[in-house]
This record gives sequence, C-alpha cells and structure tokens, in this order.
Amino acid sequence: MTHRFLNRRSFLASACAGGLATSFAPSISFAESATDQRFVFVLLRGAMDGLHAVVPYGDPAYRSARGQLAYESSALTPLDSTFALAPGLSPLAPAFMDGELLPVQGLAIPYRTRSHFDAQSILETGLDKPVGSASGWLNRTLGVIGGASGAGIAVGGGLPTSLRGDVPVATWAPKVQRDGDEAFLADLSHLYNQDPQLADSFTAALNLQEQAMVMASSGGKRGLAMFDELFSATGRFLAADDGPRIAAMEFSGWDTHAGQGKAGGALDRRLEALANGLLTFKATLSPDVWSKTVVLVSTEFGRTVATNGTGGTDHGTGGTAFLFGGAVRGGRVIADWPGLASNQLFEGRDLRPTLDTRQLLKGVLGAHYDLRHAELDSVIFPNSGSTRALDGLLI
Amino acid sequence: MQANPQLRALNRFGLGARPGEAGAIDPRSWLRQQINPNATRMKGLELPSAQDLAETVMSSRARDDKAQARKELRKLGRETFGREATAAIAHAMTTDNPFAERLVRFWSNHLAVSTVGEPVVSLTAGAYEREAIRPHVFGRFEDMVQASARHPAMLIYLDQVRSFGPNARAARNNRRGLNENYARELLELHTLGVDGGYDQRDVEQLALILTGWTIGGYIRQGAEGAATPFTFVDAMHEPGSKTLLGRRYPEGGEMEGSAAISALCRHPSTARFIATKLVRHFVSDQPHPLDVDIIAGVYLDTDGDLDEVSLALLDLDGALYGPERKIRSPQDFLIAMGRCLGLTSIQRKGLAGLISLRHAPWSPGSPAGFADTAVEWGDPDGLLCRVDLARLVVRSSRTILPDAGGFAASVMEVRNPALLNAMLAEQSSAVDKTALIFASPDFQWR
Repeated sequence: MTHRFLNRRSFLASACAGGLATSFAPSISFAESATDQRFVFVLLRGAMDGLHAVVPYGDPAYRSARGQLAYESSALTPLDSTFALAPGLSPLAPAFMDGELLPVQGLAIPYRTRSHFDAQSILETGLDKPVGSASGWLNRTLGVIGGASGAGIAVGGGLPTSLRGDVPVATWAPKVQRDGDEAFLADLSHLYNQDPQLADSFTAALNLQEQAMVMASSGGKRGLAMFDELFSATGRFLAADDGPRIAAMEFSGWDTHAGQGKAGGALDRRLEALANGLLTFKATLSPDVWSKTVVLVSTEFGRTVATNGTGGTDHGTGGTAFLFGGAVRGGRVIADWPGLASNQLFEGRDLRPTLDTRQLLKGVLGAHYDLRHAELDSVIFPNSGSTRALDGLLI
Repeated sequence: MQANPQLRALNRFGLGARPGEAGAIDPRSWLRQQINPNATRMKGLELPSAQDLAETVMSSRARDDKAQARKELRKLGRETFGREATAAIAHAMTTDNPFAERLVRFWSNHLAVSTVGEPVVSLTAGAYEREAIRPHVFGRFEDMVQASARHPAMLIYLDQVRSFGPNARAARNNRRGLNENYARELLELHTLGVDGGYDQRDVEQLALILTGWTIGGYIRQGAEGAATPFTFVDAMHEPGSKTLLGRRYPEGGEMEGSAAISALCRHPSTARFIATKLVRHFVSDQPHPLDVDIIAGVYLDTDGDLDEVSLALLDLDGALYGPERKIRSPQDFLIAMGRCLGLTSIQRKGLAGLISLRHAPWSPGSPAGFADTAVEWGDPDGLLCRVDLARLVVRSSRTILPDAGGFAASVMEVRNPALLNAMLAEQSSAVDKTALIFASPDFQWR
C-alpha cells in the first residue's frame, strides 16, 4: 500500500459519500461514559475442579472422600484451618496475604444440571433456567451503567453469551498481523451499514481496530501460553484511558475426566498458568487502575468429590470462584462449608452447594458499579429478588 | 429481496455457487440427485485408516522410551491433522455433490470429536469422518451412532476407552473404574438432548452398559490383544443387569450397548433433537416448531432413515424461498471462495486463517461441536478475520474478473447492487475487486 494510494482514498472519502468520513471517526471513547471501574469476567469452560484448586485439606473427610487425587499436605499453601491453595495456585499466595484474592467455595448456579452447556448458559445469561437465545448479564450490566459502544470487549474466543445483547461490544483475538487497509475497510463499511444483522458488529470491529493495531501481539499462542498472552492483552485494553471497561475472557480445557493428576499434573499446570496469567494482568495496570479493578474467575459447576475410575473427576455440583483485584476485600475464603463426609454430599457424590452464583455476581456488580437493587434484581439478574447479594466483597 | 432459489440451493444447501452454475440448475432436482450414498465418498486419497492408526498408537505405547514415543506421536498427529484437514477442505472445494458434503459436515459436527489437546484424536479425526460418518449420511442414524461409538477417535475423545465396571474382573485389585463422560454426551449431545428425559442415574447405568468398549490392545492386562480400532473386553465389563430409561438390560456383554444405542436412536426425544439441529443448520437460527415437527415426524416414521429426512428438509417452507438467512461458517466461507475461484487446494495460510476464525477442522472447544448461528460467527473480530482471509485467498489465486459486478450477482444474492457496484468501482486493482465481493456482507450469508 502506497501513500499515493492512501491519499487518493482520503480525497475520495471526503469528496463523495457523506457517511464515509464519519464511519472512521474514533467512537470508542469512553471518557464521557459512566465509569472508571474495571471488571473482568473469566469463564473456565469445562468445569474446573474447585476441590483441586481451593483445597479443603482441613475437612476431616478430605483424604478418604477424595481418594487418590488428595494432595499431600506438604504441597499445599494453607489459607486458613480448612482451605489451602493448590500448588499451581501458589503464585497467588502473596495476593491473598495482601487481601487482593478472595476465593469462594460451595457455589452453584440456581438450577441443578450436570450438563456443561446448560450450566454455562445459565452462568452466562444470569437466568435461573437454560434459555438458548437470551442475552448475557455482562451486556445488561453495560446497558445499566450506560456503557457506550466499545465499553465491553471479549478477548480471545469470539463473543461469549455473557456479553451478547443490545449493547454493541468488541471482540479481539491475537493475530500475527492484521491486513489493515483502511480504505478497503471503509468501502466495506458502506456495505455492512446496509446489513441489519452485521452492521453493529462490523462497526465495533473497526472501532477496535485502531487500538488493536498498536497492540503488539506475538500471535496466537497455543496451549498454556495462551493465558499469559490473553491476560496481558486484556490488561492493556483496560489500562487505556479511552479503552473498554468490562471484559470477558474464557479458557477451556478444565473437563478433567481422566488423568487429572496432583502437584505438577495436568490440572495443576493449568491452574499455574491461570495464576501467572492473573499476575501478568495485574502487572499491566497502573496502581490507580488496579485499585479500581475486579476480576471474577468462575466455572459452570464443580466436579465429583471422589476420584473416578480413570484418575479424574466427573461432573458435579458445588463449585469454586475467585475474586482478584485491587478493589477486592480478600485475604479470606468465603464458604458456608457443608463438609465432605458421605452424608454431607449432594446426591451422595458432589459438594453440596451453599451459595447461589448470583449472590456473588450481584454482590460484586452492585458494589463495584453502585447499582440499585431494582437494576440487579430485575434487569441484570431477572427474577432474582429473593436471592440476596453478598455484602462486603469489595473495599 | 426476492429469493433466488438457484442460489439458495447452491449456497444454503451447498458449499457455494460456482460462476455460471446458478443459471444451469433446477434447484430441487440438483439437490435430490445428491441424496445418494455414492455422493458422500471421498476418493483417490492415501490417507490412513483407523486400523493403520490403531497399530501406530499401540506400537507407540509399547515402547520403552515413553517420553520420546509421546513426542513422536504428537508430531505425527500434527502432520496427519494437516494432511487430513487440507484434504477435507480441498474435497469440499471441488466436489460436485456439495449438498451431500454439507450433510457429511453436519453429522460429523453433530457427533463431534475434537483434536484440541488430544494428539490421538488429531491422528484419527479424518479417519473418523470417512469411516463412521460418510457411509451413513444417507443411511440410518442408528448405524452412524453405532459406528461412532466404536470408532477409536470417539472412544479416546470421551474417555470410553478406559472405563471399567467397578465390579469387572479387570477392575478388581486396582484403582480402575467407571468414567461416565461418553455415556453422558451420548445421551445429551448425540441422541436425546439435554431435556430428553434422562437423569443422573441413567447416565451412570449407560456408562455401566458401555464398559468394555475399547480399542484393541489399549488396556494392558498381561495378555495383549491385537491392535484393532474397536474391541469388547469382557473383563472390563460390569457384570449383571442394568436399567436405562426404565428398560431393563440383562447381562449381555457388548450387545447391551448395541441395544441401548438402538433404543436411544428410536426415542422421540432424539427425533426432536436431531430435527431441531437440522432445521437450525439449513433454515433458520430460530427453528420454527412446525418445521421441527415435520422433520421429527419423518425421522420417527422412517426409523431414522436419513435419506428421507434429508429429502424432507428440501420441502420445508423456508428452505428455498423464505426471508430467513443463515450465516456461512468460517470453513464454509473459505470453501465458497475456493469454489468461486475454481481452486483445488488450500495453502497452509488458509488453514491458519481458519484457526484465527476458531474453526479449524475437527477442533470444536467442546463435544457439543461448533455452533451454528449468526450470533456465534458474526462477531466483530471474526468479520475482520474474514476480510483478511478473503484478501489472502484472492491474492494467492491471482484471478482476474473481467466483470466483477456480474460475477458477484452470479455467486451470491446481492442486497444492494448499485451500492456494491459503486464500491467495486472504487477498487483500483482486480484483486481488491474480487476480495471486496468475498469480504462483503452478502457473501457471508446463504
């Protein structure tokens, strides 16, 4: 692409077709919008084994109930007399000490299913039963806080259900190189503006283009290296003064039916990559931005308490989440612990759920964005009035 | 916009119109003549069979230098995957039976395996589609599920290969036992659907029924069996009768699983689930209940004869004439460009483009397979990736179109011809003209 070519295009852009010039006006600016608070929703698809992450080593039944997957005590980092961090999560121990990490145990969506897909749908729509085409609670949150186009972004894997809805949002994934011919894209945007279903999406793509172009990307890392790359990108997006404020990320590979392993095993290495990714994310933010940031790491359900016949765990119920961020009041574990003895389990096999996931989500969003009960109870999480938000999660 | 039934047939039910093709076909007879078992064959290829691969995997597992053996197997998996994926895309670009090929791709995705994080599935995914899916696309659904259940790709992917009955002979005195992964997805994703009327107990009972279904030679028990793609190992099988969906299955070894799959495939919930997915794939992101009723009815009346089911799809109201549109998946977008340009193969970069678009062959993020709707594939980053891929493909093909506007109208339904022609006139190079057509919104739909 030559300068002459560009110049000719710039001339054309101003000379003809009125819509052309405006279609490239930067409109991602968030400054006029409602908030400076940053929020990241990290979904671990496939059901992370929470008992293998925030380990209830102090439960008297832990060893006998878990069987061959029970960690040796020496491998664990105790958080209190009941819970300890798995070896892979030990990089987060200093954050726990500093009060920036808040693990939550015994959490479940308000609908009993062991289907990944139904459970993810409920977790992402914020409803109390699976509804295929519903919008997501993150998008409805953007609507409530007056998030402009560009206030929301999904990093790494398309547009997840949590961010689908009326407010246009961006998506971004690492590329080696983007073919960024602006004139070509401007011509295309004319065509996309005529398409009722794709117009918003194409506009959001162009709006993000400017930011993404300057973002150095090593380009589509695979496997565990993805964590660092995507967390780093998300941090840089959220750090920008005029960047997005709410991000959704997702990682798969948590469906450990076989060969889950213990310290240094398959799941533990993935947990370590997650922990290091979270620390990378923090490192991309200034102390000021970090103090306004909350990351919520969640998964669709927990896994069976007992090891299955193939050194793994099957789909369960009660699960685990973490809050991480400068705005988090951490350094403790939230759990109304039901216990792991066989008579304490849900349907004789799973951790009994003692917290509705929406209690956590409502508690975080309500405090972080100063939302009214009516907004939380009926708009963001419809029909959840009787589900009380958890208090005191944030500073 | 007036629907063009020729382009609908070629694009919505096929893999993309070739220039000039639309004027030369009668839509219904063009589609109907492809409903023919011969139309799903892939020929002239030196690609490995499951038997070849079973032998490769078993000899790798028998080696003493485990780490090196695993490393070599991963490398072989990557190479085989690359060959298989490029062969599958090239076949789709060149086949004269693109409707049949769409159905192959639909069923392969319905009974999905994924190479993500699974080197052995990378080796066998292509063979799986050829051996378990293609022969049954115009046969009975049950035969396809029976073949899928016995294929090493599926046995490995959903952990069936090492699921032991807790009371089986080979499970005693060691810590081997049940794995319910495959049984759950067989119910939830392959047959009844999540609301199909089963519970956790049914999942566990089906898992017990299926114990012993494994790959020949995979499980070490002293006396090694021959390496075969499938075997039933009675020593792994849970003895005694089981009960699934209220029906008792007396102890019957491998036949328990065969009978259970047969019953699941005849279940009315399966008919509805399959019908909903087919209507969503070919007609509308929001399947109309009447369309679902029609297809489910044909399925039940014909005992799951996919020949009849495929035919019935063509007669649905919205099939060739309705206002609804379907978005092309990224693979189908790439394939359609190839068909337009007469390409016979794709480059490595084309495959990389599909990875950026999250749609590499046989690589869905979960056993649910790839999604199938505009909200899934029309995301902002995805649209820009399509622009990149369009420019890449056109640049490497060096095709010059004498009449870009006419070409566009011959391969897609153009919403606003005047605007498209104006934008084509803006392009200073022939490459950009062609790329603009492929990157335009109209080319994303079918």
